[in-house]
Amino acid sequence: MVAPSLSLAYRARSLLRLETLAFPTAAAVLFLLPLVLPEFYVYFAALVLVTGLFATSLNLVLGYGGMYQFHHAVFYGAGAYAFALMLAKAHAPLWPAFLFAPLVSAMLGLLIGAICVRLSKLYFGMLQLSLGSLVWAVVFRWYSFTGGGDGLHEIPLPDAISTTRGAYYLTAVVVLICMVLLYRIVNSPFGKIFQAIRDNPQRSEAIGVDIRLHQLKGEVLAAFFAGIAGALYVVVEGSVVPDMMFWTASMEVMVMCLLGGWYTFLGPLFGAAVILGLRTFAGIYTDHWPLILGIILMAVILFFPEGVLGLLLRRANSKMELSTETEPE
Amino acid sequence: MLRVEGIRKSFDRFNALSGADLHVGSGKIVAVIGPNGAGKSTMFKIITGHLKPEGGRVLFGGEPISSLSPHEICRKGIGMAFQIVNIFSRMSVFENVQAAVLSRTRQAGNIFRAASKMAVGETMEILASVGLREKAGSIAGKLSYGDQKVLEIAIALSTSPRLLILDEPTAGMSSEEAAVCTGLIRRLTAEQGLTVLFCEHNIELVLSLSDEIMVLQGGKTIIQDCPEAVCKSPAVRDAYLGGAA
Repeated sequence: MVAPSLSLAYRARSLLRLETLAFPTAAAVLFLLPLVLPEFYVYFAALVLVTGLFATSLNLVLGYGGMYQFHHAVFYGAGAYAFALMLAKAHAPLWPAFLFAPLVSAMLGLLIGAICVRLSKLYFGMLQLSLGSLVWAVVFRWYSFTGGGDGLHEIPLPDAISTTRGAYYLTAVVVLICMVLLYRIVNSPFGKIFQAIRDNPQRSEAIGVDIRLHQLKGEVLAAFFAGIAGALYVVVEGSVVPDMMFWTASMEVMVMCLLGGWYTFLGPLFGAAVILGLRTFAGIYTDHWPLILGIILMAVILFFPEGVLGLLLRRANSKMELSTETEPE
Repeated sequence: MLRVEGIRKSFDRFNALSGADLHVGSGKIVAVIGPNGAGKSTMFKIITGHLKPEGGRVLFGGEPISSLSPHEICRKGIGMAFQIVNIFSRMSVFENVQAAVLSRTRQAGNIFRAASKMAVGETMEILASVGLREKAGSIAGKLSYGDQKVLEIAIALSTSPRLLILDEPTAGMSSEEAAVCTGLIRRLTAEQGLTVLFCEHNIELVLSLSDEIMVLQGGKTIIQDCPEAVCKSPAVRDAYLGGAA
């Protein structure tokens, strides 16, 4: 048996090796995919990446922060609308419009968050749901500006990204960068303290953490990344509709986190792939695909509540602990 | 350093504190004793901002602090170890202490650096000082009860407090664990010259450790004096033995 500190160092080394390999491997796979996949699957992969980023941004506050973020889709929609309106109505160039989107979402996150973080748990979630629904109602009713229930279509995109493969490559690059940034945030002092607040708010306060301020910062960061995902959705789909910021969209993305594992970093991306896959491929055979999703969800909740990747990670950790016991000093 | 003046607090119809006073001088070790329900934990929670008093005031370094939130009071220099173990049970022992160090050094909001590389030396030093260095990688929730209580003291120490408050530090421990914990408190107070306020039912520990003892009964202060004077006090004998002595 080795000393626990050695086991910790060994685990950290293993993780470091994994992290160093993960980025170039993911980049290579993402780059090669369009070369081997038919166009429809390239489009599908882009949609999975966008939705995965959206789900990961939710998981920052839900899984790591323990905040009941019941209406995260409002920030996703805000980013999408900000980007679409900048291109369609203000005729702005791509990059300023693309930067504008997450800023609008972050501002909305600051506004809604400043009101909601005064409350906690369910009360936080319910107030957020109400305020988010209010934003949705404004978008849905403001026909002259947002297109109302019809949304905005045929958004003018530069030629380079107006093709499926062009949109995919932009999405892949941006999502990869965002995932690296989110990973760093989760493992930064901010992320660690966020997890500490989730686990024990009273102790967090007693070590000098301003938990309301910390949660507000988390809310703004999550909204920012959701805004980027929203803008990418417009790049992939070429349109934006108010349904993407309706409360059901928020519930769907929560299910993605639950399914994949909300204490894991890649779980939400995995959950997004499963649910989009079900909707796309099972949807070909039956309109009742949510039934299959329901059965899968029940199984997840009953048998591995930490989600699919959560379960795999726990098993891998147990194996690693066993292997450190035999590692030579 | 700390002055509590006439604080009152009630829960529904029960008066937990009804005008209690306390003063803690710099560098002193002061114990608060009293029967169960005397209001000791309530007083500590008011000092640390976890409860708000209905009357009276709390001064720390001459400054009123009873309207401040717990994190502001911690930043003023008051560290607390709770009666019921209050740690980050899903995090490692190392991360528990590191979180407190990062908070104290105002690094809690840093999103640009990897936490694993920050405050490592200081965290390990604190863990070594309480004898938990070898358990740094263990999950805090899986430690023995005694080790969890020691970890809680380590977390409180990591905030570099000017005043360390310990709410029944040896409660629920086996006699061996209690002896280790007592030795630790004794060593830490001697080495670091800490000002300590604690409450404890173990009278031997109280008498051996404290410079002053404050006796609380029914939410009121009966006496605050040196251990010898408190032991001789008829009021204290009445409170503990119901006038039988």
